[in-house]
Amino acid sequence: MIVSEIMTSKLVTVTADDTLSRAANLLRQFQIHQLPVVRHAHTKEQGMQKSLLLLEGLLTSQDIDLAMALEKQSSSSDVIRRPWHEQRVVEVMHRATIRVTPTTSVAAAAQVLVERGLNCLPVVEYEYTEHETQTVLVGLLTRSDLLIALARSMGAFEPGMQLIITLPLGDLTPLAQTLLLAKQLHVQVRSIMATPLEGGIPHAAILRLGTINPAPLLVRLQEAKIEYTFADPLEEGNIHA
Amino acid sequence: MPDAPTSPISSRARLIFSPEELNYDFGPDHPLQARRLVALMDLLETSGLWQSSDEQARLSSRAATIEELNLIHTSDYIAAVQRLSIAEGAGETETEQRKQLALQYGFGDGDTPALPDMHHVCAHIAGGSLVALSAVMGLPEGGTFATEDERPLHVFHPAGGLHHAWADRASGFCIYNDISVAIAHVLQATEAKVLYIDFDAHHGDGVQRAFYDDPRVMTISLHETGRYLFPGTGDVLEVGSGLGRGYSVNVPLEPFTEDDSYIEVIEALLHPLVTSFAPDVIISQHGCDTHAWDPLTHLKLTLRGIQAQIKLAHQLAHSYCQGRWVALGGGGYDLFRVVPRAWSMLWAEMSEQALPINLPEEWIARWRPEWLAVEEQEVAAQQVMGKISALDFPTIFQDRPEDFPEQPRRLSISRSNRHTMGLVRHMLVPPSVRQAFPSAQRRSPLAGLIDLLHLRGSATPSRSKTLETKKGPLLLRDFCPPSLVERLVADSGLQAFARLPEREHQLLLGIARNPDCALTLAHTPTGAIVGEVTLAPGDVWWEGIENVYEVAIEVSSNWRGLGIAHSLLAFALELDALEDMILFAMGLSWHWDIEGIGLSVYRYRELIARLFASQGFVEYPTTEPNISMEPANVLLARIGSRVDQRVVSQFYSRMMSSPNLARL
Repeated sequence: MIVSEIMTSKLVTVTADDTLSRAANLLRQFQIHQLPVVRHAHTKEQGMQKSLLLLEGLLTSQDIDLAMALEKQSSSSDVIRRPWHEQRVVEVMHRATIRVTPTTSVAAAAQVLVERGLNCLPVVEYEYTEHETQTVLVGLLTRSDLLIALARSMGAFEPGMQLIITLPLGDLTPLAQTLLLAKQLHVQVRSIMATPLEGGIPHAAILRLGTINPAPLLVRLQEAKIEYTFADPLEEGNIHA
Repeated sequence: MPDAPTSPISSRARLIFSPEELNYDFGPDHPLQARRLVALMDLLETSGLWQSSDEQARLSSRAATIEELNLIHTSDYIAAVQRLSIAEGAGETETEQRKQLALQYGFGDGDTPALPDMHHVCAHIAGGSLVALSAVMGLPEGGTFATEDERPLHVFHPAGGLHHAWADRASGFCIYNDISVAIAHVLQATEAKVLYIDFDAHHGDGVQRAFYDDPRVMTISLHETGRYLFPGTGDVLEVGSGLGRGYSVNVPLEPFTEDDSYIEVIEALLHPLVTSFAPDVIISQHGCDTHAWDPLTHLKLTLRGIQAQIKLAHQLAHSYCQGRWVALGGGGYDLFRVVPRAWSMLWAEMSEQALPINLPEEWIARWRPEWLAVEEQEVAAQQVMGKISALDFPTIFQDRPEDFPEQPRRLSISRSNRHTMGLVRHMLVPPSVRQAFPSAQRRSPLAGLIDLLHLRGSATPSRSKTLETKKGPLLLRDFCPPSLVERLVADSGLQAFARLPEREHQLLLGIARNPDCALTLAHTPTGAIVGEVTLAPGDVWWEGIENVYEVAIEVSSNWRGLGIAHSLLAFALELDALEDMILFAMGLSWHWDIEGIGLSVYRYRELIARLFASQGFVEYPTTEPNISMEPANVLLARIGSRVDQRVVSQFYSRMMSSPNLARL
């Protein structure tokens, strides 16, 4: 999976000259926490006018909070300082030097986000025009995008039931057998997750099956002596810690 | 507490059944078979509950038109269903195209295979539900009746209830979503508000999706949790979006839930939910795959639980909707032992006939052999779902308790369900409605506190005070006794919680009667209630912390901007014990009258924060699920100066505790 598959590409942006009050309004209106700061540029490509968003920086809601806090702290004699909402975006934004490209792998981007403690990464492409390199903003990758991608890859947006197949010692045979049986019984498989927990070996596969009628498959699994979990009458509910 | 029916009920309940609907049959190896409807109709006739010749008990239906289906389903989906309905032509490209269509529109698996002529059959089922709902709503599509008294109040459509179908996809045995089509038709033709209650063991995802952002339709689905079961959705946190936030209610029950826990949940939740929504009509789906013998789910109800559910739906229709009620079938895969009995029970309740004790012998003689033929298969399926294996064919209408051994872990299952119930109550029932329906188990151990402090109910009168406003004088009264509330009426603008002034009055009465709550009112000298403050022990989330009380306030929309809220709140909090208490108020943006006041949610939030700040309330960050769900929501609390430090830190840590209710 690469970044361009899961990033947000419909962007709400500000320019460096906008006031913080405008930025704060946008953050509120769209219920978001960061705004890319851009400059609009136009290039001519084979006679066609093309408009580009060039990345200047990133403004987060924390930056605005900080500006407000500083204003409260500053003494009343400090007449030069303007109220926070009249300040320009360029005064408080970050340069956002950590970026990814559309083809960066999602795993790498996730690692960067976590290791640097960031909430979002600008996704950029570099264009070489008029002897200079321009940074063109094409999207934003936020933590929410990653979470949605996770839920999607678990099949959460498709109706289906969940079955957990035990893989003793990481042996994938039960999974393969289950998939074959599902195929025979015309049961659609919405997603398969076999996540390694320790030592790089998965011990269970979580299947999301697009069926309302699991009994025929379960009967066949029992006949084939495949271990699975599907709401056990003796299993303790997972609500109680 | 159903109101007494004004006319003989026998002529006011009708059943829709047309032989056409029996073609909705996926074949002998499929769990859903039309034979169950044949068995049902046979049982109704042989037990004398319904006669096909009785014109007064029947309602004729028709197929839904393409335009009607189009209210919910996309045109390309309808076209695909029509294309797959006709027999396959020759040629390889044809086969390839059909395969592609089937895959794209949800017919690609074993669940919902494409049937010959399915467009026609499904349109007929959708038409049946549409006619049923139109008939009780008095719309022309419901047919014409000689007099208004002949118009049916209740209609039962056993073939309906196909709640899984999406706008552009077949799913879970459902092709056209008859429920959504019927509701959409009523929304278009009238200004009514529709309540949909889904009792099927599977989440009613199709209907919820169709009206997820529509505040005119409240969908309530009680189902087995989607942790394992199809369709996997239906968490409590799915509460609707946009304007429809708070109008989708989901109650996921633990696998292997039994009657007692089920009855406790439905009785505690449905009344307050229906009160807060104030619907004009109820449409309920009575899938009986919740039964302990059903081979597709893990729920373990018996007909006792299912009967309680049916009676409750009937009662709600009479108490809240002048009797307007449409009941539909739905799931139910123990085709011969459960479905006919469960739905006969539904019809008997609807038509107010007594249910005989024994099943007719001729009926048993006809259907027992059919069951024996599939018994082995059914037993295998039941066992694999962790359910008890089959006994013999039933001979009486009710289930015998001895046939249903107690579930291991019964206690922990019902405890989990109680948590879910608390969460739903907490998140979706507005505070003042909640306080009018105290949950029986949860009577606060501190209930006596208010009595002790204020001698409530004794001869000591409550305090009163006159407040001069620009619109005239108002009387403020605290600790209002029920006798006072009975003499007053609610002002027409008092509707934030119950959405109808008369209902609001009922609620206030309920609060006044509740020994746990204190009610402070502002009313005009002529006896119209224009404002209220309620004070009640904190809900489940705060359980175990001493002296925590929730404050809720409302002022009639006709009396805003006069400073009544400030004075009323100040007056209500003039308590001797104020400094011994922790008071909190929850501002939930979906209950705010944003349109009425013309403020943005954030301005409204500030307004509320300022109002409470005048009484020393401070805003706190919290993980409380209700508040943390929406950035505009706010928790305001006032910690009395004499409150023990230990209790205060308990309160702080509860505010930030992890929201999975693990400590319960």
